[in-house]
Amino acid sequence: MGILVFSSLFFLYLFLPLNLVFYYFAKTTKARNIVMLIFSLIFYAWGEPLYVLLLIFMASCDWLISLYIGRQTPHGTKAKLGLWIMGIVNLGLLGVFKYGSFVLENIGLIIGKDLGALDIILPIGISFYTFQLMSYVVDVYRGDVPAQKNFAMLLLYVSLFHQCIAGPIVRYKDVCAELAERRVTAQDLADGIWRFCFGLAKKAILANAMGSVADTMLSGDISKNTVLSLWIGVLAYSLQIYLDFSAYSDMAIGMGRMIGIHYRENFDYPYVSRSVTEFWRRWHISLGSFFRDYVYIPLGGNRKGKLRTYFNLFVVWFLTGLWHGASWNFVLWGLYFFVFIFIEKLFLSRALSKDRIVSHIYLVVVVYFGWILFRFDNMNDIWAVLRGMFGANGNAFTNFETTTLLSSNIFILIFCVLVSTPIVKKIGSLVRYTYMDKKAVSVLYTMGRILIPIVLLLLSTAALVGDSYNPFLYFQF
Amino acid sequence: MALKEITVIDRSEEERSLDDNMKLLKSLRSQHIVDINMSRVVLVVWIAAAILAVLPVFRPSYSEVEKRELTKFPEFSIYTLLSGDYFDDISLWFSDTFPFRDGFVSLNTKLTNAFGINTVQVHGDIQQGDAIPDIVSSEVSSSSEPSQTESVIETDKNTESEVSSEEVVTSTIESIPEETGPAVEQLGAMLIVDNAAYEYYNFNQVTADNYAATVNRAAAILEGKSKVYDMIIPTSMAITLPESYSGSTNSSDQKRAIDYMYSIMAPNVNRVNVYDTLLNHKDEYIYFRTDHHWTAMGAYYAYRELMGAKGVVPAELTAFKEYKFEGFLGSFYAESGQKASLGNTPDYVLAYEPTQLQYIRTFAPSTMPNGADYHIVSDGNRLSAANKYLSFVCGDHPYGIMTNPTITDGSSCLVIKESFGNAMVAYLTQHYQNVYVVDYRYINQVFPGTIRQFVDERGIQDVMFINNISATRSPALVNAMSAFVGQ
Repeated sequence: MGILVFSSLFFLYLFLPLNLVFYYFAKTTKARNIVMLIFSLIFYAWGEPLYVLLLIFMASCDWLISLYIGRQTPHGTKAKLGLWIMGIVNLGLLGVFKYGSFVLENIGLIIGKDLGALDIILPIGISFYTFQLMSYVVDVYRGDVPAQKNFAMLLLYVSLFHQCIAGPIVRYKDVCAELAERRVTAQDLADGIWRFCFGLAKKAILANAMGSVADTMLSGDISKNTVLSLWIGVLAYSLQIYLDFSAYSDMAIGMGRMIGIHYRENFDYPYVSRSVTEFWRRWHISLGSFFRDYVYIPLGGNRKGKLRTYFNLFVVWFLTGLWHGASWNFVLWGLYFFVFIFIEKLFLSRALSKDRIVSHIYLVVVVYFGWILFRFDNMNDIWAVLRGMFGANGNAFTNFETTTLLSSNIFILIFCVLVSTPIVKKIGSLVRYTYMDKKAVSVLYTMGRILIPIVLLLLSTAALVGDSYNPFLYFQF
Repeated sequence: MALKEITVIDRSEEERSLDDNMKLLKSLRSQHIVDINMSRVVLVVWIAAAILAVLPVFRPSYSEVEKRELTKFPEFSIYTLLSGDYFDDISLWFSDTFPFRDGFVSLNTKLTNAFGINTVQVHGDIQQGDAIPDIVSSEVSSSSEPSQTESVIETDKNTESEVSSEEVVTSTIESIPEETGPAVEQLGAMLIVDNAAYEYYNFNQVTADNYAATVNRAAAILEGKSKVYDMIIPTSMAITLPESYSGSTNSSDQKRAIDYMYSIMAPNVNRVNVYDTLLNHKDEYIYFRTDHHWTAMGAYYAYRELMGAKGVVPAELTAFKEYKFEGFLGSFYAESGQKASLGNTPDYVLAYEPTQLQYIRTFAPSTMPNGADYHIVSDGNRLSAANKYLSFVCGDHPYGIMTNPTITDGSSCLVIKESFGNAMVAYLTQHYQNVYVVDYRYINQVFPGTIRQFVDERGIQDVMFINNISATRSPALVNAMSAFVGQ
């Protein structure tokens, strides 16, 4: 696939610099928006030369619908009709392009006939931009935000290359003011660069290293793998998926700030959570809040009795799972979290709040095993991994290759665990604020502020040139 | 001191808070200045790097270390444009030909070395080997359909695995013929211990059977005309890997694999087992540490074994002119991403030139029909660090002849080899008027026929298969060999 990932040399040394140069030479916000729109459409077309038309088509449908809804009495019949049409168009297209083959396959299984598969390749980022468009129309319907009269502005919102294909799922109402008028402060620019470079290094160095360990440890005939390789493999995968995805959000947020747009945070150290409920408030925040605001609360949330609350939660977690991919293992993964949230709601959360350490361990264990469901798309493999982790496949605990691979990655594994917690950041700010008055520290700070992004850029470049391993996990969503 | 204390005490509350505000303002201002400078410096560096990266002058087209042509800028077509491949290929070209590529690769290796404890490292994905069948009877099977033996023999439970031959094709040794120069063999997984690397070997039952069947077929075709010899050369993993590691690695047992393949070869194939010979000399410099080949010394011991099988007294090394080329950093070094432990201790190449002749006449599509002469030992000092194995008969040619002017009895031999054979063929010139060297991977580029015609046209008496064990697990290579042998 020809996706222009942020962590590719082409993006880093051609697309983004060119974009920034054009951007800063354009003086008015309007001119700058034109620059961003052109670059965004090129960015999308780079990976999907044909499906860029689908993106434009969906944006124009939702633009027309939102204009229609905007002219009706709020919450009136006509506005409702508009909302229904919007739902049918967006979910219909998402359904065909993302879930078409999956639905056919399962209908085929039920009626006992092979219906074949649709010859459709999943358009990049369709899950992200469909949700953005839908949230926009619903917000117009609710009167939270006026309908956008200018189609180009709506297209800019949804296609903006920072977040179009891999999130965060940005809400229109959060950015519409900044899209219309914005200025970049020195702090925005510096923080944006800083954030982007950290995200880049997180992806190019850490996430890719974890991915390579996970792939080696979890490759081949999984039922032959040693016990240790499965444990380490799943650990590395857990770290990879967090580092990879949060790095992408870091880079998106960083690029937004470089041009004066402030996206909301998408990750807040999810692995330090102490319950599954908390984990999902810290993991992929923009997705969780989407389902909260546009599914859970409209269904009645927790206001319609206990039973209804559980049903609503079930729906949310079924959909959350399904959103991640057209495959049952993702649904299973979503429902797996539903079960724990259900138990937590029943009684567990009270028990958990008593002991910090036990609750941490509980969360980490639940999430860790959850990633097995996420990674393997068939039950045989999932079962083989689970059995193998407890020695039930009759394999050795470890062998020479496993031990070697573990020892040659031991420091980076520990480092990635630390980076997944706020420790490093906390120590950094503690040192800085405690010794702010000290001349030496302020000189060091100044040097660090300037040199660290350059060093990270250099090391990431080396990692990207030297390493052909550079997947991006969230593109299938 | 006392004075200072007094002034501190004397300061009023008001003054102090004013002071704090000033400090805060000052720190905000200094933060602002730092931010402006930071943005300027980073963006200037970034954009300068981007300009460097785009300028064609700095874009390499060839990697010296990896010994390969880098990706070329794609050609435009509507089809590739619409499918997205065109843009994809541009991105690939951009990253593959990135300026200072080799330097960045080396920097990345230094970075990844800090990831853990690295006296020993495993690179690449290891393919599980098939179970190597036990040899049931000491009697050598004469079956030319070795697949029959499968049902008779027990399988070894410890190394059992179900890797299909298709999987093996995609990820073990593949030969990618290039327009010019030798084919690049892609290494599978390798193990690095201190300053030496070793290639993993995974036994592949189907391909091993095909290899033996191919040799059997050659012997059957040439029955009564020429004697057929077969030598399967183990790789360093089996011979020179320190004992503390051998046995624990997940690499198939090469001795058993060779014994198995020999056990299903026909009696009219003269099997030359060099495993123990090489093992006896394992403390000598018989394999390179930074490259997957053997040295001329390893090849020499194998040659002595071959001559023993033929019943001829081998030539002594002193009968050759010795050359030494320092600074060889071979395929393992490139594959490891220029790992320092290998790079700091380069190999050297010893090469032996016959005194009676200096040239090999080679034939390739570009030099047909007259061929071109190359030195049997070319000047390794003029070859790049990565290419010093090309000292031996100047690398892989589809076909070459060495003629010893001091022998006029019409004797000749044919060596069917991949690159391992290059280090050995010079020794054979001492026993034959003509030594024909065929690289079975490329022979079809210059010779359309099969082994029968090749041998008949030249009246060859001895036909020698000189193959390293990695070739016997590669379907692509065995198929190429089989095509040359014909039916």
